[in-house]
Amino acid sequence: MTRGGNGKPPTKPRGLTHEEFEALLAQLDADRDRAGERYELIRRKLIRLFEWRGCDAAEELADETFNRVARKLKEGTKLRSSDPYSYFCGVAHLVYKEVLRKCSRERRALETGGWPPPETSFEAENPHLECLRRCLDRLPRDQRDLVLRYHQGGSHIQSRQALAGDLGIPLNALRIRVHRIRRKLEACLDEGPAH
Amino acid sequence: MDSNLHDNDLLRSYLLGELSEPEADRLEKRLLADDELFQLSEAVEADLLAAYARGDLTPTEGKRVFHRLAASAGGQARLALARSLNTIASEPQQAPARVVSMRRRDAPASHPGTYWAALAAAALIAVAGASWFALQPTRQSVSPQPIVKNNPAPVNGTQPGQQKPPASLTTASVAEGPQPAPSPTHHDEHTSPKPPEPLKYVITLTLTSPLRGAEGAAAIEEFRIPPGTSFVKIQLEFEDLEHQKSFHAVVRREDHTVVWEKSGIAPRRMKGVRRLVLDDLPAARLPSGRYEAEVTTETEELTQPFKVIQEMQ
Repeated sequence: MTRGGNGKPPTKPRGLTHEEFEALLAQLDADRDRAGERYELIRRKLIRLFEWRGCDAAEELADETFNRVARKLKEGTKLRSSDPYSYFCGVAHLVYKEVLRKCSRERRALETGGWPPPETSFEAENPHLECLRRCLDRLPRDQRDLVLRYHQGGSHIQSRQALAGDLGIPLNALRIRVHRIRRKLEACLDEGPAH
Repeated sequence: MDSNLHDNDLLRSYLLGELSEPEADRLEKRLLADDELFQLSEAVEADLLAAYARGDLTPTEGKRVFHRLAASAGGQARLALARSLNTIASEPQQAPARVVSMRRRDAPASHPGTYWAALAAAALIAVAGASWFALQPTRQSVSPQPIVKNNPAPVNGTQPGQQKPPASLTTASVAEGPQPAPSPTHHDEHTSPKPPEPLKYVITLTLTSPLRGAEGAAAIEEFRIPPGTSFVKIQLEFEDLEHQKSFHAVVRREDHTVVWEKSGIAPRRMKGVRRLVLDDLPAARLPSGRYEAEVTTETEELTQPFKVIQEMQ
């Protein structure tokens, strides 16, 4: 069975038949598992791009993007065999821009909406906090210390540059490293930490 | 490195909706094709959410983060994670930062095991030439009180094999056991970072009702903040007001200037004592002088005066 990046079968976009979806995957990579991983990665990216543009229903918009890409493929558009992934990304981006126009009205509405001030107080007896503690306990100590250290002392660039310097890596590499740890924590929170 | 910095700034502007449409379009094309850039974008997003949760952003940036990054269900979850990580990272018992804490001198040590561990640690550090000692408690969900004894001698807590941290950040600490020496050139993900860390000073006050008379007239507690301290965390403990769920807390100077104030704070319960943990304050906001901490509900009020002495280098 074809697997996505998270070890699960790739999520078929709504509106695509099984055959259309299989054809889409086949264009991405000859290896079906690899195709599933790439599909999931692009889908995730599209969802995030729509979210970053302030669009509601980002998943539906990502699915719609895939539907349109699949249609183009069905109409005869061929992905370059040398680098199908990059070419797919290019096609997906063109379609993404079409779909993006749909949420332009929502985006304009954002500019006039109110917003609550950030809540900065300690969240006592917050169940999320306790779950996160358990998830942190499941991390290797160095990763746990790194992510907590990264979040200490505010966002002062100097402290993070010092941390990156101590690790001997560029600041952006530090950001990505910490982000990967956060992704682990997100996954742990999603599945529920072991008690 | 320049391109790294450029990408970071570019992504930040993109996420805040500050790029022109053609710029955003070009960047999105790159994000789809470049996995590492995409990861960096998510990392910058997480940084923005963490800064938003701390209240570090300008009102305009905060509004944009709220609407663009925190509006979706996924965004709310990421914001909750950022907020919780901020919280846990700022806790003295959870964070890897070294913490100097002082309890009221007249308060009994409620965790003798920890206290003796602190004393043992102090003895070890004294042998090594250190003169300050502090306790970094082990990370536990229910953590013991960090207890530290004051000693105004200079600091030198560097362990063998470690790079000496800057003097302003140096303090001796007791870790959970042997630590690998830092290896700045080793990039493996499992490398344990041992950089100098901001010094945090914890003030724990036990609040009493002004109506209690004799207790309220006790000598004012002094807290000596060591030089180089970056942040001060104030914890307010009280045993009254059992039925109250939410409090208003304020810390003010003798001249009634408000240093910190917040409403709707929920207490934590630790070892039968209710505690309000206030946000970390930059140490500079607590110059030497007399202060008063006050916790109020709709019907009741607890106060505790205290004195801060910012020690000089």
